[in-house]
Amino acid sequence: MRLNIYPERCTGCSACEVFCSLHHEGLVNQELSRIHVYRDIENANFLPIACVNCQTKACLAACPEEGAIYINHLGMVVIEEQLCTGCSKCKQACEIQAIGFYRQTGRGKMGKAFCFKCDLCDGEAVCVNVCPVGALVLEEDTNGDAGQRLFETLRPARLEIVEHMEARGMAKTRRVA
Amino acid sequence: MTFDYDGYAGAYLRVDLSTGQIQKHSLPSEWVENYLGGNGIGIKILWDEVPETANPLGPDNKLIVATGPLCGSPMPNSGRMEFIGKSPLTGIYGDANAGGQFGPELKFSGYDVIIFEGQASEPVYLYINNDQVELRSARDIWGLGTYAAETRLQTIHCDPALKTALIGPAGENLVRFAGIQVTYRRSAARCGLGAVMGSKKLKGVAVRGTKGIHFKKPKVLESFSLQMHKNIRRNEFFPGIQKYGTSGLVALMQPIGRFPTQNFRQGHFEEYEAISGETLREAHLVRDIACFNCPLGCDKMYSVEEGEFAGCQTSSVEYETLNSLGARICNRNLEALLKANEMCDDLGLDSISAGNAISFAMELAELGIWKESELNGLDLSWGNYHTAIQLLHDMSYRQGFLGDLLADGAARAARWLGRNSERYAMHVKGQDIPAQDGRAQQSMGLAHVTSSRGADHLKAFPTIDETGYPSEAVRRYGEQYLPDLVNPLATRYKAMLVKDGEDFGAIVDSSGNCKSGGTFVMAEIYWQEQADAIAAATSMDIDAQKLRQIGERIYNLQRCYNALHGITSSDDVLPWRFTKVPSPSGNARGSVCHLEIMLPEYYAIRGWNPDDGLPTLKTMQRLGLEAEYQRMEHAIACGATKAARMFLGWAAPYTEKVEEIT
Repeated sequence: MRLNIYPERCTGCSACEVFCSLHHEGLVNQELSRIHVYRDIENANFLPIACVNCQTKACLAACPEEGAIYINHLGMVVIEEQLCTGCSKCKQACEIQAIGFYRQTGRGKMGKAFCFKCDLCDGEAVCVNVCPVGALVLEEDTNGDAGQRLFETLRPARLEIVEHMEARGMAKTRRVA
Repeated sequence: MTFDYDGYAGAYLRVDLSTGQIQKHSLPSEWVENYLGGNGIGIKILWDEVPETANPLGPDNKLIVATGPLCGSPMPNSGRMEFIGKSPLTGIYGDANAGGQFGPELKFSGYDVIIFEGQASEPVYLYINNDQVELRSARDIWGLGTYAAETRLQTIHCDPALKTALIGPAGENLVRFAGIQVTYRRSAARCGLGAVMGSKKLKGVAVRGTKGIHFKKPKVLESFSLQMHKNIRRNEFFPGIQKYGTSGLVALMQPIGRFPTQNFRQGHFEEYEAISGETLREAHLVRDIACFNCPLGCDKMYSVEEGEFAGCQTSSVEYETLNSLGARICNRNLEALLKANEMCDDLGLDSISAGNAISFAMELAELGIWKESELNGLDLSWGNYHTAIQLLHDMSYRQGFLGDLLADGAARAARWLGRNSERYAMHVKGQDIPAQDGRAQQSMGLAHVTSSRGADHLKAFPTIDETGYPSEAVRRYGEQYLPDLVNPLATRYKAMLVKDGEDFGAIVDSSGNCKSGGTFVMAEIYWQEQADAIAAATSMDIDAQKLRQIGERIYNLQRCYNALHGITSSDDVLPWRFTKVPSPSGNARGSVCHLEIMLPEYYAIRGWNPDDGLPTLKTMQRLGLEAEYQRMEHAIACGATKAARMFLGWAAPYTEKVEEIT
C-alpha cells in the first residue's frame, strides 16, 4: 500500500497537515505533520510531500540505530520513535525530505528529539480521508515501481520550489532548505 | 493567573505603540465564558476600553486582532480571524473578518488576541516568533503595496512560511475604507480598519508560530471534524461553490433582479455574462486555492494573459467585487475588473466601498452635480473602467480633488459636498451597501439596517431565502415556516431569520470558522454542531442553548456600543431607492423593501424597545448585561450620545422619494 500524490489538484488548504498532526500527536501543529505542503503562492504552486514508498529507501540504510526504522506489514517504512535518537540522518538521506524532525525540549542528548514520517495511519490514512480534492489517494502497490516513479517526479518539483524560495532570499527555513 | 481551557492559545498581547511596551497576559476566563472569542472578545474590549469620545483615527481607538476557539482547529474552514475597532468609515462599532492562514498561525504562536493601542511616532510592524515578540521599524516597507511588503518581510525574516497582516498605501493614507490584507491575499476589508492601523503607524503584523494548539478531546474532535468535512463535501451546493466560489452568484442573482447595477438603480446587468463566474473561470483561472483547512477552496487565482491588462495576477475575485467594480459602475470589461481587484488588494482597499464611491461619483457626473474644475479631466461616464482604475489609485494616495474626497467614502463625501449628492450615496450608517438588493430579497434589506457595522449582508447572512433553499430551511427551522420563509419577496418570518442569523453569525465570527462554508450557505453546521465542536475543543461547559445566549449577548452589546454613539431606530433606514422605488428588474419587478413591516417585528423578537430600537432592561438583564445597560442609559440621559452622534461625520441616508432619471 502506498500514497499517491496528485500535486496539480492540491489547493494548499492544509487539511492533511492539520489532521495528520492531530491524529498522530493529539494536537494541531503543522510542524508535526507527516505530510508537508510546499507553497509557492507566487507561481500558484502547491506540492504535498510525504513518503511515497520509493524503491531506493535511502532512509533505511542511513539509520545508525538498531530497530529504529523498519518496514512494516503494509510495506511502509516506519520510524520507532522510542528508539529514534533524532540524529536526522534518515531525514538528510531522503531526497524529497519526506521525513520530519522535531525537537520537543532541550538540546542534544539532554532534550527529546525525534524524526517522524508517514505510516499511512496503519492503512486508514487520515489525510486521504480529509483531502477535499483527491490530491492524495491510497493505492494498492500492485506495480512495484509506481512509488519510485512518483518519487522521481516529486524530487525535481520540490527542488524547483526550493530554488525559487532561494532566489527570493527566503530559503533558510526549517523544512524548505 | 493561568488559563483553563484547551482549544485556545490562552494568552493575549497588549501592545502600546506610543511607548513601545509589549505586555503578555493570560486570557481572562470570563472573556471566553461570556464572549467566546473573535468579535465577542472584540466588542467586550471595545466597550470597556474605547469610549464614545474616542476618535477612530486617534490614539484612543484600539485595534483588536482576535481569533476564536475553533480557529486553527480541525473543523472545516477554521482559518478565520477578526479585526475589531471603532470604524473610521462609520464612527461606530467596526469589525472585519479574513480567512487565509494568518489567524491559525497567530494561535500556533501562542496568542489568541492582540490589542494595539496608542500611536507610534515612526512606522513599525509587530514581529512574533512564538515567545519572541517585538516591534520593529517598518521604514523599509512603509509605502509598499501589500504584495511587495509581504514578500519583503518574508525575505527579511528568511521565512516563506511567515504569515502577515498588512496595510497598503490606502491604509497609510487614512482612506476611510482601507482594508487589511492577510496571507495569502485575503482581505479584512470592511469598516476601514486599515486606516486605524495607518493612524497608528502600524504597517502590519508578521507572525510565525510552531507551538500548535491542544484540544480537550482530540480524538472526539478529529472524528467529528472529519464527519463535518465529509458532510460539507456531500452537500448539494458543494460542487458549484468549489468550482466558482462566490463568483457563481452573478448568474444566480441576475434573473431574480438582485444584481445591483448603476449605483443600485437596477437589479440586473444586461451584459452580466461578460463578468459571470463561468466566464471568469473559463478565461482566467490559474488555480484553485483554499484558506486554512477549507474543503471548498473558493479562493482562486486568476491571471490576464493578453491585452491592455496582461500580466495581472489576482486571487479571490468575489461576487461583491464583480458587482461593485463591475455592474455597479456598468463595467463589462472582465480584464479591467481583475486589474481593479488586484489593485484593491495591493493598495489595501475595500472593493465594496471603493466601487460604491466610484458609482456614486459616476451618478453625480451623469446628473451634472460635479463642477468641471473638480473632475480634473476625468471622464466619469458609466462603464469607463480607465477612470475607475485611476480613481482607485487616486483614492489610495488621496490625490486630486476627487480622490481625496471619495477616500472618505460616499456617505462622508456627500455630507461635505452637499448639492443634493446625499441622495445618491447608497449606505446605511455610513457603511456602503454591498451587492445585495433588499427589494429582491426582503430579509437582506432588513439585514442591512440591523447590522451592527452598518449596511452588511454578512452579519445576518440570510441565505436560505436568496433563491429559495427549502431543504436547508426545513433542516434549520422545520416545515412550519414554508413557503414564506424561502420566498425572497415575502416579509413573513424574515425578522426571525435575520435575528437567528445575526446571533449565529456572531458565534461563527467569534469561533473562527467561516460563514461561507458549512455554517450558512450549506447548512451543515448549526447551533448544535458548533456547540459540540467547541465543547470537544475546549471542555467549556457549553451547549447549543448557552451558545445562543452568548451570540445574543455579543449582538446586543454591539448594538449598545452603537447606541453610545447616538445610534437609534431612526438610523435603521435604507436609502430611498430600496423603499420608495419599485425594482425594475427580474423576479423582483415592482417590489420595494418593506422595512415598516419587518423592523417592528425584529425589535419585538430581539426584546428591543419599539420606539428607540435599543435593548430593554429586561433583555439586558437576561443576558447578564445590567451594568452595560446602566452605562448606556446614563450616556443617553446626560446627552453624551447626542454629542457623539455629531462626530459620526456622514450624511444620513436620504429616504424621501426622488424621481429616477431613465
